[in-house]
Parts: sequence; structure tokens; C-alpha cells
Amino acid sequence: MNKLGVVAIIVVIAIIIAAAAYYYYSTQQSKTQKTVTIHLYTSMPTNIATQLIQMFEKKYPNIHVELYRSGTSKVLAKLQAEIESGHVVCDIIWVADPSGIVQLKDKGYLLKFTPNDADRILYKDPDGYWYAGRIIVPVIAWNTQILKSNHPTSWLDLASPQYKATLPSPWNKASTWAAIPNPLYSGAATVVAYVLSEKYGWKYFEEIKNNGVTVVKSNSAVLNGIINKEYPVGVTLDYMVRQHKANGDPVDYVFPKDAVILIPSPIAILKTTPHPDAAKTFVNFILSKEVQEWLSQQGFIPARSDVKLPAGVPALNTLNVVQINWDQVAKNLENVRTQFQNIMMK
Amino acid sequence: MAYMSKSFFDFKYIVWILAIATLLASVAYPLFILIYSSFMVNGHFSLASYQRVFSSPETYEYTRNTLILGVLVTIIASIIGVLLAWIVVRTDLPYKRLLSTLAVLPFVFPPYIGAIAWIQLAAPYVGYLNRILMAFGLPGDTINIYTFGGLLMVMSFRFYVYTFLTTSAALEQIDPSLEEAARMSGARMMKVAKDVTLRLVAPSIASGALLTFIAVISNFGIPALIGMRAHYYVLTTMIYAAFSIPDLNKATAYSMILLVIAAVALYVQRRMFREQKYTTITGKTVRPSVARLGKWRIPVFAIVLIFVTITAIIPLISITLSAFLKEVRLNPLNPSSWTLKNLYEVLFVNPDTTIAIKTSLFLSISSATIITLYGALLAYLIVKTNIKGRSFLDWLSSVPYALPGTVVAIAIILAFIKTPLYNTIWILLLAYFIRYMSYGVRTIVGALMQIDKSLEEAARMCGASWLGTMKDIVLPLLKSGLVASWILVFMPTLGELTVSIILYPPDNPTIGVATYNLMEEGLYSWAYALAFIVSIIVIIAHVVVRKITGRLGVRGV
Repeated sequence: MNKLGVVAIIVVIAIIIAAAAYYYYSTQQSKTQKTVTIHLYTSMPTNIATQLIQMFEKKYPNIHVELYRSGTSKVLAKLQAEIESGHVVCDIIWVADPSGIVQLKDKGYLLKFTPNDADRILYKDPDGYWYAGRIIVPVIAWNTQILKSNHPTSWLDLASPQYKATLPSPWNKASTWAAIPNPLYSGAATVVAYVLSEKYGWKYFEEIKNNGVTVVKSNSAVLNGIINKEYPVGVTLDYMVRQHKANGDPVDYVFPKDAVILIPSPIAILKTTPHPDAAKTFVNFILSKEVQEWLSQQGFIPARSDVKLPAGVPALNTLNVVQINWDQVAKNLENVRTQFQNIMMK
Repeated sequence: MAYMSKSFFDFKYIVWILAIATLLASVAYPLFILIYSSFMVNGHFSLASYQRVFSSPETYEYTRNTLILGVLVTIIASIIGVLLAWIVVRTDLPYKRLLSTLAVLPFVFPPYIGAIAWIQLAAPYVGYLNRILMAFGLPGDTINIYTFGGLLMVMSFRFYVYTFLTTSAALEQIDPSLEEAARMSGARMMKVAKDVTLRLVAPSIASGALLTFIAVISNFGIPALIGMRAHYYVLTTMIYAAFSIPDLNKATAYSMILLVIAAVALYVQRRMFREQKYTTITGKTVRPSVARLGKWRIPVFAIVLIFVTITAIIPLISITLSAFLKEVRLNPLNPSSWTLKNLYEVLFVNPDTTIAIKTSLFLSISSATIITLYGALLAYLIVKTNIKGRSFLDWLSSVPYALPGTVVAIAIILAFIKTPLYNTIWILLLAYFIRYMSYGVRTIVGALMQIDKSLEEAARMCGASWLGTMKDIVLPLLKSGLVASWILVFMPTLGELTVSIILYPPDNPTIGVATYNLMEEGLYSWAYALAFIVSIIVIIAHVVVRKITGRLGVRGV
């Protein structure tokens, strides 16, 4: 074989080894220095979760937090797969809504514990297995460049052809003018589907579908679609709209007047954790006044009664809040998703 | 075999055993597990999975949708492909080489890149085309990509390349004397084309059409990005949905339905291909007779040029424009809305995309290298030895690419879920190796066939060992084949989506997965920036491979 061929093969092999080594090194380097590693599985936005972990690791340098982030359904599915395989990696779970957490609690997978200032936490499990780490609210949002006046105010507006007729051209005749997130992916969307199907019956979803409401993947997809002017209106989460509005995007929102759905985003510790103390330290950190204030500054509704709400959010008790029985939501999870899919995704 | 030297005997058979073992473990075992698992529920033999899926009306709907989409796209794509092939090969059209280059270009990109290019062109209200139409006072959803028609169009514009390649190959090889005979006996040009040429290439068209059908029913990216929004659900997207719930039993049962459909189509195609060899291909390269288009020459050229511009150039422009726009909703012709920010952020800032680029580069470079080395060994066994079971090796290595990627991915999940490979980057490497193995094997088999056996025999007669012959004679002659194989594996694995979306470890998305997720989240600017990077790399690789092989830079069949 000529020299060129030999050199080429050596170069290729060297590249592979280098790539593999680089890859291995880049994934391993962070794991080596710390003494204890705990795994956080969460649906919190990546940048928020990363910043929280940085703040935590600065304060507790001997605890390292590994992050897995995805949508609530995916996070729970991953944990479920770990439970079935008998090797649970996850130590702390923090997702959008309590329904999946209630199921985990009922099956005995969670660790009971009382955080500091437990009485200041607005929403929590009566038996002490989970605590709200923040509160999210599905809201109706719209593009302020398209809808200059007469924005929707209630869930019923989405189902109303009369409301649609008041939209500016061409949206009053568009086949799609609003979007909602998919419960298969978003936990908050599952709760919305549950609450509205209880309140207005499943025919409500047939009506919104016939009225030009489509389904996209997630809450952030709905919001990006509104900003990109794919449709003027959509159902998404309160804090996302506040954050985008603060960045100058043309978007605003209302708490629907016919039903405000407050969803506590529960944080819980797995019973199987090999590091319960480190896990408790992390949960206490998240529920602390300091972190809840920081979350409020980032636009999230805090979970503590002694922390100020983000700018522009009215006192929660002035809203038309629906009471939600999370055990019922947990029991109906499968049914809600199936019904939703059968109606909206046909 | 007593006269064989001992080292030759040993080494060849060790390689043979290794090759068989690798293939059995990586190809046969997962497929066996897939079939086996579909009959098991909670560890017992049971038909419950099948009962469940066959008693729900959705199953029939998804299966019917899959078949309808497959058949319609195959018909449209075959008409386009055959016409285009005839025009490019058998007429006196100007700039034929340029046109045929452009005609195969859609095939070079991952399918989902075509889909996102068309989404940006023809999404209601925001698509570039609709914005142009709105400027003329037409409704903003005049063209709606999120419809069944949109799905048909995007798929046809990509998958016509199969029939184009098989038909043009056949047209180049049929004996022109038959057509000349017809023409001399007074038949007109179109009649000759219809009666003689068409009949001669019919088996190649059928073979290409069946490949199109398999490719369409196996495709995930286009139905996922366009079909889901159009509420048109097919088996691949529903396997992914069932897998995401996660309902692995359902995903397995759907996979079996898709597997059976694809296997039947594949069986028919292979049979046809075998027969076709005896009917149309003379083996000699002949100069095909050329039909004179006369006054139609320029209009036909214009039509073909417009068509390939629509299928190949415009989507590329759409991706490029969107990648460099501050926001996709801005006016792309206004220089103040241009930016390099998206590319910069995708390459250096956004953690998901930077990891994705790293992961995909690592995976495609390693799988290309491993497949090329392994493919060279396997190809040698297949072509240059008369070892028992070599046609079985050949067949087994081609199975994973022929079958739907979604099905292969589910099979790999089922086979390796309990091993430490699961949820790591290594399961992706294994999956790419399995799925793209046949690219390496086929390319190198082709290259090896052209090396005359007498050269090796001479070396061996002069006393060179088998290994020595391999190193000094075969490998140097094979170099361009090896490089082609490497690039042909590198290109599709770089932007792979279908297999990766099911197998990717959560903290290691690939470029395909990251692009798909960004599209689903409505973060279009980053998605287009990623797609742009992949497009550029793939085009360069395509040009290089064309230079090397001198043939069409796509592994057609």
C-alpha cells in the first residue's frame, strides 16, 4: 500500500479516537470533582434549571446536581422506565402538574419529608410527599400587533363563532386562528383538558376544533406561533408570556374569566435516593424565600405566601380560581389524553 | 482445501465467523426480538397486543392512511421520475448534465429538511409564498402546506428520484436497435417512446416504484412535521407517538404491521429486479438513440428547468434565507433583517444544538469509518471467496436499510433496553452501524467487482499471503470505493432523524432530533440555521463523492 493510504487511515483513526476521547472527556469532566451527585428530573425551562443548579452548587459546593430536562410527560415516562428496570437514577422530580406525582405517591415511590417553612408553601400534599416549587397558570394569549382590541377573555370565546367573526381580516375567515398545546406532551395541557371537559363537557373540544383551534406540541410552541403570526391567539403558560412581553415581543394575555386554573408544580424526592440528605437540601433550597423571590423576578408565580407576585399579576384570591382534586386528575389521566386525542387530533 | 496455506485458511474463516456473528447479533437478533415481543405480554405468550390494536378503529385508519399516502406518492413520483428520466436521457435537451445533477439533488438532503423548507415557503400566512400572494390581495392560506395535498407534494418532490434513477439507468442500457427498428418502420417518436421504450424499461420503473413506496411508508420526518399538523396520521408517526406515551406494546404491534407491508413490497421488488436482469439490461454500455425535440426543445427545457428549480433550488433558498433572518417573520429581502446570530448561537451558544452537532459529527464519522472497514471485509467475502453462506451475508446486511427505520429502531430498543447501552450514545452508534451497513457493503462490492481476480491470483502465486494480497493489491485498487463508501455513510448519518428520534439519549440529541424539536417548539430560526449547516456539509460531500465515483452521487437502489 502506498504511503498516502497509510497516512489517510492513520489520520482517520486518530480523528475517531480524538473524537471519542473528547466526547468522553466532555461528558465526564464535570462528574469527577464533587463528592455527592444527585439527579434532578424536571420540566422547568433549561436556562432556569441551569441557573438554579449553578446557584445551588455555589452555595453547596460538595453536592453536584445532574440535570435531565424534558416535557412533563417525557420526564415521568423516563422515571417510569427506570422504576420498571429496577434501577432508579432520579433523586428529585420537579414537573409541571401534580397528577403524575400523585400516581407516584400512591404507588409508594416517594419519600415523605417536611421542608423548612412548610406552612408558608401555598400548595402541598396533605400527607407531606410533595410541595409546590412554583405555580403555573394556563392563560389565553394573543399577538398585540394583530389583535389591537377585543382580545378573547374566556375559554368560551375559543369555541364561539361569534367571537371569531370579530377578529381582524383575514383571521375571521382563517381555517386556523388559535392553538392549544398537546396533553401528550404538556402536563398543564392535560389539566386544562380535564378541567374544561368537567366544566363544559367534551363537546367543548369539538366546538373549539370546529371553530378553528388547532393542536401544537407544547406551550412554548403555541407562544412562538403567536409571535411568528402563524395564528393570533393561543393557550399557553402565564410566565412564558410575561417573559416574552418583557423582551418586547408583541404578546399579551388574560387569566380566563370563566375559570382560572392554578397548577402547583410539585417537587418531590424519590424513596430510592441514595442521598436523601443532599436531596432534602436541594428541595429546601428551591422552596427557600431567596430562590422563590428569584423565581418571581424571572416571571414565575412563587409558591410561598411571603413572596411578592411578579409585576402585573393580581392577587391570586381575586381570580376566579377552580378547585382541582388532584387525585381525580391522576385517575383520569389516561382517559383525558385518549378523549382529547380522539376529538382534537382527527 | 488441504492445498491452502494455513494462515490464509485461518484468517479468512475468522473474519467469516466474525462477520456472521456481528450480523446475527446486530441485525437478526433485534428483528427476532421484535417479532417475539409482539407475541409476549408480561412474559407470557399472548395475542393480547394484537387483539388490542386490531380491535381499535385507529389502527385501521393509520394503516389505511399509510397505504393511501404510499400509493398516491408512488404514482405521482413515478410519473415525474419516468418523464424526467426519458427527457434527460433520450432527448436532445441542452444542459442535460446540469439538469440531471439538479434532479437528484433533493435526494441528497435528509427528508425533513425538504419538509421544513416547504413549511417556511407555504405555511399559511407566514410562508414566503403566501406572503407574496397576500401582497397581491389573495388570502394568506391560499397555499397551505399543512394539508394532505401539501404532504403529497413535499413527498413526491423528494421521492421521484427513485424512479428517475432506476429508469434513467435502464434507458441508458437498453439496446437502441429495437427502437430504431420501430422508427424505421415508420412509427412516430412518441409512439416509439410509448410502445417500445416504455415496455422495455417497465420492469425498472416497477422496481423504482416499489422502492418509492417502501421509502414513503417508512418516512418519518415529512409526515411528522407536516402530516401531524394536517391531522393525517401514518404508522411511522403513530409508532413514535405510542413510544412517547410510552406504550411499547402498542408501538411494537404497529411496527409489526409496518414491517409486514414493507416486507411484502420488498419481496415483490426483489423478484422483479431479478427478472428484469434478463429482459432489459444487456450489460454493454450502449449509446442510446436520442429523440429530436425540434421546436419543443426550448419549451421542454424551460419546463424541466422550472421543475428542478422548484424541487431543488427553491427549498435551498428558503432554508438559507431563513437561517440568516433575525426573525422568520421579517422581510427576507430587507438587508436590515439579516444576521449571523442564528448560526453563531446554534454553533456555540445553545446547549442543545452545540451538543447535537458534536454528537452527530462523532456518530457519523465513527459509523462511516466502522462501516467502511467492516463493509470492506464483508464485501471481500461476498465477491472474492466462495465461502458458504456469503449470499446470506449479503442479504442479511441489506435488510436493515430496506426495512422502515422506525421499525428497526423499535427492534433495537426491545433488544437492548436491559443493557447498559440503552439511553447512551453507543446505542445510536450501533443503530447507525446496523442501518447503514449496506451502504458500505454495496458500494465496496461494486468496487471490488471491477478488480480483476487475475491480479490477486498473480500475487498469491508469487507467494504472497492472503493478508499481504489484501494490503498490497486489493486495498490500493479499492481506495476510491472505500472513500465513496465512507462519504455515502457519512452524509445520511449526519442528519439522521428517523432512528435517532426513538433512540437518542435525552441529554445527547442529534442534529436531526434537535432540528425536529426546534421546529416543534416553533423556534424556527435555530432550526433553519442547523438545517443550513447540514445542507452545506452534505452538498460538499455530494460533490466530492460524484467526483470520485463519476457516477450519480447517490446510492440509487
